[in-house]
Formats: sequence, C-alpha cells, structure tokens
Amino acid sequence: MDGDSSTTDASQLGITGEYMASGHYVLQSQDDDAEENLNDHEEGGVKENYREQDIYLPIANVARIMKNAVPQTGKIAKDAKECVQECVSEFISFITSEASERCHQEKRKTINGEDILFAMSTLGFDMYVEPLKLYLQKFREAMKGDKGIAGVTGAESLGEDLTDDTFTNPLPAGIITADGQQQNVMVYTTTYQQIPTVQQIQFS
Amino acid sequence: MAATVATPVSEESSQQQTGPTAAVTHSRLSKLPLARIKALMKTDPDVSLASQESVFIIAKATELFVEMIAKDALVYAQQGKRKTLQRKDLDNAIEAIDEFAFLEGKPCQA
Repeated sequence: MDGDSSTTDASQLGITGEYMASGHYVLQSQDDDAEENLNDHEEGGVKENYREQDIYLPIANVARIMKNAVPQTGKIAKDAKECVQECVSEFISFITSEASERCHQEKRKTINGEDILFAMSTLGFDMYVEPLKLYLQKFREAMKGDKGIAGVTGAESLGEDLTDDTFTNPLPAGIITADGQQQNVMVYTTTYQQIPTVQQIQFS
Repeated sequence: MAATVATPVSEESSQQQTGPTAAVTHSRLSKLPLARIKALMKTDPDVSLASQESVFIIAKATELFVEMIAKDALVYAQQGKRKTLQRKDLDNAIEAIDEFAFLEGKPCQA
C-alpha cells in the first residue's frame, strides 16, 4: 500500500499494477509520435503538421491544364506555373472553408457535392456551377456502375419502411444514403478489444 | 518544392484508393490527383469529413479555375506583345478580376 514504484512485479498487488499502467501511458505517447510520422510519409516524409501553404498539386498537371487555355504557339514561364500552383492550393482551401461553413450551418458533418456547388456560386464562381453539375452526373453514373447491386439495394431500403430484414443485412460502411441520393462517405471506424486482464483486479 | 518530388507516387496512390475499376473511370474524368486534393481540404481544422464526390467536384472546379486564370493572364501577355505567359501577367489578372480577390497577397505577387 506504499505505492512503491520500485516494485516491478505487477502480479503482487493490483494497485502496483495501476502504477505500472501509468508507466505504459508514457510509452504510448511516444508511439503516437511514431504514428504521426508514418502518416506524414505520403507527403515526402516531412515530419510537421501541414499548413495549407505547404501542399500543392503537382506542377505537371497544373501546367498541362494551362496549356489547354493558351494557343499552341504560346509558352508558359516556370514562375507562372508555380504561381498558378500556389493559387490553386489557395483556391481549394477557399472553396472548402466556405463549403464547410455551410455544412456546419446545416448541422451536417460531411461535406457533399451540393455544399461545394453552393460555395462556388457564393464566391462568385457561379459560371462553373452548370458545367460542374454535368460532371457530377457523369461521376455518379460511373460510381453506380462500379457499385452495382449493392448500391441499388441501399437506396431502395431507405425508400421503404424499415423492416427487420434491413437490420439483419448491415450496410457497407462506404455507402451512406440521405434523401434517397447515393453518396460515398469515407467512414473511419476503430475497433478495440477489451483487455480481459483489466477486469480481473485482485486486491490482496 | 518537396511536394512536387512525390508526383508519380501520389498519382498512383490516388488511383488505387478507389479500387481498380473505379480508377479507370476516374482517370478519364479527373486530371488531378484526388488524394492530394483531399489532403489539402483536410488542412482546414473545421473540415471533418468530405464525401468522395465533393473531392471530385473540387478537382473539376480546379481545372476550370486554372483554364480561366490562364486565359485571363494571356490577355495581358498579348498586350505586352509576348507569347510567353509570365508571372506578372497572372498578377495583373488577379488584380483586375473581382473573383480572384482572394488571391491577392500571395507570395507570387512579390
């Protein structure tokens, strides 16, 4: 009962086991740092939190799209490409924050296509809205073709009254439907197992 | 500069993200890496989840934006009797057009 941390044998006292657990917490925080490093691996191994200015779209893609806009005889200076590259990142952040604001206003957590279209017209890019709606339609048709029967079942089950059958078949995590429309939502779920030893604390 | 190095890797990973069949159709529809766009969106602390179609729409909108700003800047290049699009042409376009007001104060403005 002294709480002597020098006791290394956790099996002697349950209380000592708790002190051992606090030692484990210290180790876990180090593991978390390691996990953050692994997550940053995609972006070239830079081990910091990313600000929006740090992430750019590949300059080759940007340059290719710019070339569509200028006549074939024209050239594009390298600093012009870099400038557009930065503007693009700014543009994406700008639209995203506006769409995210609307999403919060409507008490939803997931930004969907409608939020983006609304943000574009609010910010003065309403000339994009019509072409984007066409592309959105093409995209949805392409996704339906991939999902096949599963997507159709999900949409139909929402249209009907919920019966016991709908609960026995779990919906795939990738498809969450609202308002009868099919949307693909990235849902990250974590599962953890209960450690049986925790429940068995013996006090001697 | 570090971001451009990872170009080939990121494009492949964005295609593998949505499965082999979807990747074929996505590569026809979008010219930009969706994974990178999604990473950009996530730098905003208010953004928790974004649907796949929203990422796709932003990719398409970005293409339209790049075309638009390039065409507008081209006007200034032609005024200067040049065929090469330069950074100052973009600066002029940003200053002149109201929709591009959010771009003022960018590093490229120096």
